[in-house]
Order: sequence, then structure tokens, then C-alpha cells
Amino acid sequence: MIKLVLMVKQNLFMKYVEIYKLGNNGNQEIIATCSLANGQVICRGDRDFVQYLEREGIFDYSDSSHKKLFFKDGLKFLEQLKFNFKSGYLNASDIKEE
Amino acid sequence: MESSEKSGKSEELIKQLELFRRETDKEKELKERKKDYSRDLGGYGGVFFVKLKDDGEGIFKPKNKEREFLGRRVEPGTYYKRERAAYLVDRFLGFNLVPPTVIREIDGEIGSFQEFIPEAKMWHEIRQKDRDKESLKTEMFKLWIFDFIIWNSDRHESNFLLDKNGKKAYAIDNGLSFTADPLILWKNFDGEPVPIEIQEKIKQFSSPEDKKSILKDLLKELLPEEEVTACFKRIEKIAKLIEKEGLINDDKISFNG
Repeated sequence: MIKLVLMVKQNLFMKYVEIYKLGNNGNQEIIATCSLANGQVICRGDRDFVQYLEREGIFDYSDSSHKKLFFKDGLKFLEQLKFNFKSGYLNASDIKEE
Repeated sequence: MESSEKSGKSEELIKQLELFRRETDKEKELKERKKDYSRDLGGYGGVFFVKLKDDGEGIFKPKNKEREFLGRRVEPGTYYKRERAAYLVDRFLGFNLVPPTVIREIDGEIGSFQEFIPEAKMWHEIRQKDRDKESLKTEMFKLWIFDFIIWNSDRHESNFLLDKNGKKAYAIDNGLSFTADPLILWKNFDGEPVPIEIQEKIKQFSSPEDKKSILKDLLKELLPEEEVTACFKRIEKIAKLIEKEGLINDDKISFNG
């Protein structure tokens, strides 16, 4: 029963990460939003950026293997976005839920 | 006071060395100007956009907000010094890749403060035909060699910028450098002829010896001695490879040169 409630809860709350680009005055705009759907990541936003993310992937900083992560890696990809985009010019948020 | 005649150094050389020893005007501005306002940019570790009074902006990364990267030796609380160390190496090499970076206090927090690059572009914003241009290739080649020198374990698409014309590269986010962590490099120019412009810079760095010793002293204030020694060994190794073959094979360079 508890497992079922947890599963329903997980599906009710969509996990997503916003990626912001820094403008000249210090303001940030969202250039992409990556969310989890059926275990895969879907990113929407700036076409070139999203295509780049899809093609090149991001680094997995959870160990020193240099492994690349792609949309198919689902939650792991979302979790690692903030370690890849942290320069200030492009920053990723923590995982949010809605 | 040693006269230039006695030391055997020309007036010009002494002047040049003095300039290397001193902070540049830009560094002084970044260090001394008061904050006008700042914006928390969020994300992992603290990153702030800071507008200075009387002009100037920068990216501030406070020491106390630095957070761990799993699987890496580099310790939080040292990244801000590594940012400054990377800038100094770049300045002495004359690569002009790292925006001026100083260490200063803002709102009671010490951290690295790097000049902001307005209208910066990311790699994904550069069209393919522009990516292939020779001038940009030279910039990327320089970045590749620079990352060997500072032993960067964190160079990827979002850790370098291009100017608004897409011709000049800027190496940012250099905090995970100088330790013996595995390298993460952007492009690979393994075995390709090193552009003459870069060969010249490396040659110029090697002489005079005094310039190297000034840099060594400055780096020792920021990094453990063994990391400084390893960095100089890598520069020597790269200089030798270029002198001998005019190219660099990446398997010939290790952390210790």
C-alpha cells in the first residue's frame, strides 16, 4: 500500500531542472527546462542548446570515471545538470518538483 | 639596490619583470572598487553577479559556498585560489584566455572575483562554418594546451566562452585545476602542429628565468608547493615537445610533466 502511494506520488510530482543564461545586467533567463517523463529526460527551450545537450550529453560528476550521461539516463542526467552548469553564465537549478 | 649594469639585465627587462610582479590596473579595479549590487545566480556552490560602483562587473565565487565534487581530490575551500592561480599562469604565458581574476572580500565573504564578459557566447551558439575558422581553431588549441598546464579536471562546453564575434575564447570556471585529478579536456589536438603564435608564447615564457621565478612565488601563495612544481614541469615538458617536434602527443604529458 505504502509502495503504491509512493509510486502515485512520484508520478504526480514532475521532476524538472531549469537552466538559466546570464544577461549583461546580471539578470537570468531560462534557456531550457529539462523534465523527467517515463524515466527519460525531455528538454525544451533554446533549440541549439537542447540539440547540443542531446547530442553531446553531460559529464557524470558522481565519480571520476568521466562517463557521459544522456537523456536516456533519466533522473541521473537531471541530478548531474547542476554540476555541469555552474559557471554563472549558464547555471542549472536543483531538481524542482511540481 | 642592485644596478641594472651589475645584474646584467637591461632596463627594458627590469621594467618588464616589475610589471609582472605588480597587479595590473584591471586587477586593482576589480579588487578595490566597491560593490554597487549583487545577484545570487543560484546553482551548485555560490555564484554571484556583482556590479561595481564606477563601472565594472564580475562573477564572485565565495570560498564558504564551495562544495565538494565527488571522486575528485580537489578540496572545497581551495577553488577560489585555483581560479586566481589559473589567471596568473595565463597572464604570464600571455595566452589571454582567463579574464582578470582576483581574490577579494565582498559582503564579508572572501572569494574569487573574475571580470564579467558581456555578450559572451557559448559554443553551441557558434555556427559550424565559424567553428572551423583558423583563428578560432588557434584559440581552441591554446585552450587545450592551457588545460594541460593547469591540469584542468573540468573543461567542457559551459566552462569556456567566446566573445560576441565568436573569435576569441575565454577560459572560465578554473577552480577544479592543478590537483592530480583526471583531466577533462575540451578538444583534442593530439599530434597536430602547434600554431606558431602559441609556440612563440611558450618560448617567451621560458626566458628570462626571473619571470618564471616571479610566477612560482605568486603561485606558492595559492597552491601547495608540489602542485606548483608539477605545473612547471608540465610547462617544461610542453616546451620541449614543441621545440623538438612542433606538436604535442597527449600521452607524453602526465601530471608530473
